[in-house]
Amino acid sequence: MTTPRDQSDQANQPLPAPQSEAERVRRAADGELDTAHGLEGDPRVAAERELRSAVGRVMSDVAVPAGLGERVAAAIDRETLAAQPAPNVSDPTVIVRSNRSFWTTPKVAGLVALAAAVVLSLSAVVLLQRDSTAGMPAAAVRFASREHDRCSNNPAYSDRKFMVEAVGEVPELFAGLAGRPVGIADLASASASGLMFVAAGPCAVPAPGRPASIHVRFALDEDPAAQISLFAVETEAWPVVTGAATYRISRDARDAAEVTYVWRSSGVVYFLVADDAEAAETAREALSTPGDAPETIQL
Amino acid sequence: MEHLEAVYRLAYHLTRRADDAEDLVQETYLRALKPSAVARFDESREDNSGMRSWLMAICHNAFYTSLRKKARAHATTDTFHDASDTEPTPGEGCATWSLAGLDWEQVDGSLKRAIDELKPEFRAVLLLWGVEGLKYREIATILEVPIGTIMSRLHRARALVCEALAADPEAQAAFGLEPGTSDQSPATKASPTPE
Repeated sequence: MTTPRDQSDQANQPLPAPQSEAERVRRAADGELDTAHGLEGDPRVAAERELRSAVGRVMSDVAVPAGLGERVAAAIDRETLAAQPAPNVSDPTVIVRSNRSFWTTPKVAGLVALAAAVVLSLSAVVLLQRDSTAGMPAAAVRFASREHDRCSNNPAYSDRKFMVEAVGEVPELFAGLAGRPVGIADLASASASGLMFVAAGPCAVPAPGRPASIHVRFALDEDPAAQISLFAVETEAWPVVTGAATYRISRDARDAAEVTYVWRSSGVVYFLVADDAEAAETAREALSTPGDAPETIQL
Repeated sequence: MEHLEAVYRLAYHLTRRADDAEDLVQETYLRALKPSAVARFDESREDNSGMRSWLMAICHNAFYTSLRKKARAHATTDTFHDASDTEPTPGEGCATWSLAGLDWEQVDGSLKRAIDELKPEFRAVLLLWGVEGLKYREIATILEVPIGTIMSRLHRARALVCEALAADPEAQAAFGLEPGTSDQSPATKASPTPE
């Protein structure tokens, strides 16, 4: 394995002369010869270029999965949050990693901030542009759905993400991220109404201004295998989501059975995701969401 | 997200699994924020290899770091850096030469299968060469190997692909080759080339 310095040195040196006619042909095709004298119009060169073109065509046929950018941005947010001090959290280890001092040395912090700004600003612009057209938190709904699936299917990822294992510590976690107390739903009461608290952790639901947000996982008392996610975002964005109703999001989802509810309460927008309608309904009732019956919204 | 498509393509061709590729992409961007990576970006800017190459180098590194962890031994990476990597670039003519002027689009499926069968180090070289259109030097910088290794690996990858196509009935039919006739297969049909 060469070092970056080796590579830099290497980059300044000319390529060695071709050791064979075959190598000369290949390098002529690849534009890696200073002079390709005698090889102009050579069918062997043409054949090499055709192969390169075919390889390029076949290998470029890979589409970036929808939402991957948002997912990466969310991960960066989590990492950034983890590197910041959390003055309002009673147990600093909840969201502060052991290498914080390394990240916060002046020089490193400056470099990290620069890189983070590049990545985050680009992703934020994309996300906000999408939401502004829909009027609803479409990107956040998509994110919630994917994050729910990811946590359901990837235990190692969940283990890293969910740091809080006691329902009583969730308000502190949220307050620590927001920098002040936030009126979050009464999860302890919900846990006594058929929901079983599993864990919670910081999250980065895409929203204007990148507000504090958390992800709480539940199961059902009657069905511990049920997977339920509650995302809470402290924001005044998305005024379409009023505090008077609960919205059931209908979308051309890849998983038709999955149900997502959205509502607002006390300055917090919630996204509830469950793998089936029954679990979602149980959770919605346990959380006492606003309105009599959910309004369905097509995204 | 800057260069997400290029990074995902590399991740996908290294891992060959969409979910693994997504994880690798995430790991790449997280690593990119680390001080050591940022410092390296500063170095890479000096030789103008740019952010895309920087991110791809991180992606490639993260992939092999992950392999090492999974293997708990160095078998995989030893294979990756085996002796064949350092041998001189083979001088023999390439099987490709007999295929000039043929309609490659007819064999996209066969070609894709042939590429999928390659080791990840060969796929990575082919990707950076064929899709990203990088120069040997840039590929060497990204993969952190000597430029001679890149040339050797690229030649081997091309030869392996052509051999696989020669053995593929679908490609034989598309190229009008007679199945089972080794003399007429792309792998052997190339004229000997004076060295």
